[in-house]
Amino acid sequence: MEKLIELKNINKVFKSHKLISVKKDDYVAVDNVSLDIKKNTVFGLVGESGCGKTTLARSVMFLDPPTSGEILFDGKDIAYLSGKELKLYRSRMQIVFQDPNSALNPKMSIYRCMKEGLVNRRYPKDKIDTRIEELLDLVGISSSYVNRYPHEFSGGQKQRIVIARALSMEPEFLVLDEPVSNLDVSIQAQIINLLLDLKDKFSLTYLFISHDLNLVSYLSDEVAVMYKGQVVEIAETEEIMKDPLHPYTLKLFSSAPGKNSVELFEADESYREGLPDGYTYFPPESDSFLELIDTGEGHRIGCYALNG
Amino acid sequence: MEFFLFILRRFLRLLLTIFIISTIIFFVIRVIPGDPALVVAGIDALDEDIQAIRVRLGTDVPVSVQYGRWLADIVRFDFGESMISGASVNKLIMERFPLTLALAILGIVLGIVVAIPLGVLSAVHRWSFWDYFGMVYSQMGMAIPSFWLGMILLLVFAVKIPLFPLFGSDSLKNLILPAIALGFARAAVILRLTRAAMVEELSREYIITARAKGLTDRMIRYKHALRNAMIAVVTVTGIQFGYMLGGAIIVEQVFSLPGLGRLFLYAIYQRDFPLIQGGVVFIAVIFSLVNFAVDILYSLLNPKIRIS
Amino acid sequence: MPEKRADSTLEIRDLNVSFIQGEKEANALRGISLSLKRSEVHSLVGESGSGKTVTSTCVMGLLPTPPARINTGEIILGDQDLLLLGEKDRREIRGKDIAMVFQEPARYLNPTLKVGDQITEMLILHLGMEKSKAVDRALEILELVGLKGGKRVLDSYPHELSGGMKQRIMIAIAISCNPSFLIADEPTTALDVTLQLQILNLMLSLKNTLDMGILFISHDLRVVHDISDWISVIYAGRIVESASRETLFADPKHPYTKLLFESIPDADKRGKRLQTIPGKVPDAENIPGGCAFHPRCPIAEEICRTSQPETKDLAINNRAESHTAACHFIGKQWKN
Repeated sequence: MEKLIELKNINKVFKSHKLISVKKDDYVAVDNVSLDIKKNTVFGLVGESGCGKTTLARSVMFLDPPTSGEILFDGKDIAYLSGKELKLYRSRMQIVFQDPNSALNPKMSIYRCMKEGLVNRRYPKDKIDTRIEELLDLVGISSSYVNRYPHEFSGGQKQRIVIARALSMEPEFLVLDEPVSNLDVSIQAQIINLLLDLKDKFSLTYLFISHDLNLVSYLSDEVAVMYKGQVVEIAETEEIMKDPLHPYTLKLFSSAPGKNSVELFEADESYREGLPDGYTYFPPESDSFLELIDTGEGHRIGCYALNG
Repeated sequence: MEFFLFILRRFLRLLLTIFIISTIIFFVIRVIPGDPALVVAGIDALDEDIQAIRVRLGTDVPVSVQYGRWLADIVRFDFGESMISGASVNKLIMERFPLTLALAILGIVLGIVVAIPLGVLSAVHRWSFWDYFGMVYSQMGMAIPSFWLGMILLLVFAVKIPLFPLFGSDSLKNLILPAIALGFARAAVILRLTRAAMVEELSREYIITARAKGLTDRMIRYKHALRNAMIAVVTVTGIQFGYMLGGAIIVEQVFSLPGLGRLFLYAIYQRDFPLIQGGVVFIAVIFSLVNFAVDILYSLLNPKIRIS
Repeated sequence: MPEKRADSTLEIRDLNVSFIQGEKEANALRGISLSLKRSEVHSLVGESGSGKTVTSTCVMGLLPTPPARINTGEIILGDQDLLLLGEKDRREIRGKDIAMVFQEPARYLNPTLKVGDQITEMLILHLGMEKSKAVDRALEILELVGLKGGKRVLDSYPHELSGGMKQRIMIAIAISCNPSFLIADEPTTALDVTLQLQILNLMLSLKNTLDMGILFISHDLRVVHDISDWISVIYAGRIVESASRETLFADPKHPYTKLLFESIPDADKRGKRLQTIPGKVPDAENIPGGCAFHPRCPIAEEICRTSQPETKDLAINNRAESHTAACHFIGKQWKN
């Protein structure tokens, strides 16, 4: 399958801004992440808070450009695009955040909020109104509501409006950063079904970020597990669910609720499941370099070479 | 160690502030039209006399050299001599400073004694008598100019009912009325802030915890809420204190107190440039020191600052 | 250890609470009955706005009245009705007999008080301990909640501790006076899954060692599945179904419960669309007449629009434990 997004060695470092400091306070939020996202698939990114998954998403969207690394969109490195071209690429990728409240201007009616984006991308003026109706219809919001304000909608409806607005840019790629985490169970399912329908309808590609393993395993085609800024395991969803290898993945999977109290998996240095000879899961030196090793059929695990 | 570094950082910031302020003062005074030497010498002075005065004032050399000298003077805290009295600027300032300091301390103490308890009462018993009283007070405090209040106080408590002396500056009694005039408006600011901070803290989640623990209302208010509210109150009180030190001019004038304010006022009347420069730098330094002290106090009250 | 009290049950009976705002009256709780036993975890599951938090705040006696008004109901701890007690007696029960753990420890702990003080103030107030004795006791409690580091932890401020440690401190505060019942309002929702499991395990072990009952409030059916002995499902201020954990998961009776279970995504449902419940939870101001769930229910008929279903006990076939549900058509099947 064709790749839509290729990330190569993405790093994101937040520099310390203190006048004087004893220790180096630079914070490596994303550490040498490489991954490919195939067209019309859902790529799931899981990890705990602070593991760098949102920072990575912001880097991919160029909202917060990475410190180093390449981001290829449809084979083109977006870091080298001029302002105008970058804008064009930006509209081809959109992001939906966890909290729709911060994404919608409370003082703008839904109509104005939708119109803004369309005007920005020079959509023919006389067709804007019908387009807004179409878009709202797609996400299941009645077009009779266009003159309402965000506070008049429930959380699920707001998230639908955010999705409609993202779609108005006619994107190919959507980053979904915990889009249903704030919603009730019954509403979650509605939004997830909507996202899957839209994906089929418009051949969209998703980067789906979540801490909810059950959700990610339900809708992703591939899953990457992030831990402390690094990707420690990548595989197709069925493969990683059946045969998780990295100790952190195991720990994460074993702690997912719904299994009726499982002991928390804690691996020690002797744990070598799935490792080729000469490698270890635990950094032998403090500055050891994590490598992603293919254990077969695209199932890759992050580990360290012994003896350099 | 962390705390020491924090103080060091703040101290460096203090030095930087003083440097920037003195640079601004230097250039502002050069930009003001009119040659100080001409002002000193008078319109009908001879050219040689003017040149002599320039040499005395140090304005006969290029601005860059003057600036270098100025910085050197600042480092040694030497502002030269008053053009009018010939006495050293430092000596003049130090003669007057104790009175202004005493006045400001008394003013802020009176302000605190009134404002904080009233602010707390207003917040705890919202929409009660005390809250309305506090509201009326803070409106008045902000609306009534201190010179008018000063005159009224003199009229009532020194003339009609001679409780306090009309003139003089040698006893504490002389300072009471001016301190009230000075502190009245400041207290209004502190009161409003105390009330707002207390209301805010009382609505925070940890207050719910405190209630769920079965603590008494007293403990909840004074042990839990007030402690947090004080963080904001201390900052604002410190800044108010800084204002009082620099802004006692009018009150000192009304009460004929020989403080810093009057010294600088006359310096401005008489175009006594060395004294003006020295005075402004002195006030700026005092203000920065107060801020520095507030920062330290703030960090002691707020454990979060001490770490980050 | 302080002596154990005899309060072995906490019963909520027919609790009706509304919120008055001007002319409007919102029926937050419409006849909630729950029965908690010591050493049992009873979960109250529901979506936001269903009345979970109003129930817990009401049991704690922390509901502000007004705007809230308790119309009817009893909350019986041991042999006394808490709703009949004055504020002072009520306060003495809070924290001592019934304690509470909240969702976000970072916000529910006082940021400017050392955690030690936040624990010991309870012991000093409720149990009349001396400061030094209270500190010794606080150190024991830290051990109980799995925090090593003793004095150092007591001397730290909340922000110096990690999220998981903060939640352990919240729990330490709650259990400090050895309460008979603990109300845990979404205690792990703000935590990462690995921490969540640790905290859930901790709560279960404390429940056993301290012999306390837990009212566990959550929206997360998976978490509820892992921790509960008994589960009550709340919808629009009413308990729609209540059964033991095993029974409820094996054989849910109410259509709402069934739909909830089916709408949870997991790997087994890959490639299929999820079951959804149309519409949303009604506002407390506009609760539909009859059965509140009828506008969203796949099997609703005319009677559901007009009459509110009774809560029936389905403990038939000689099963000893009760299984209650409030639906006119219990067991009726439907096609998607």
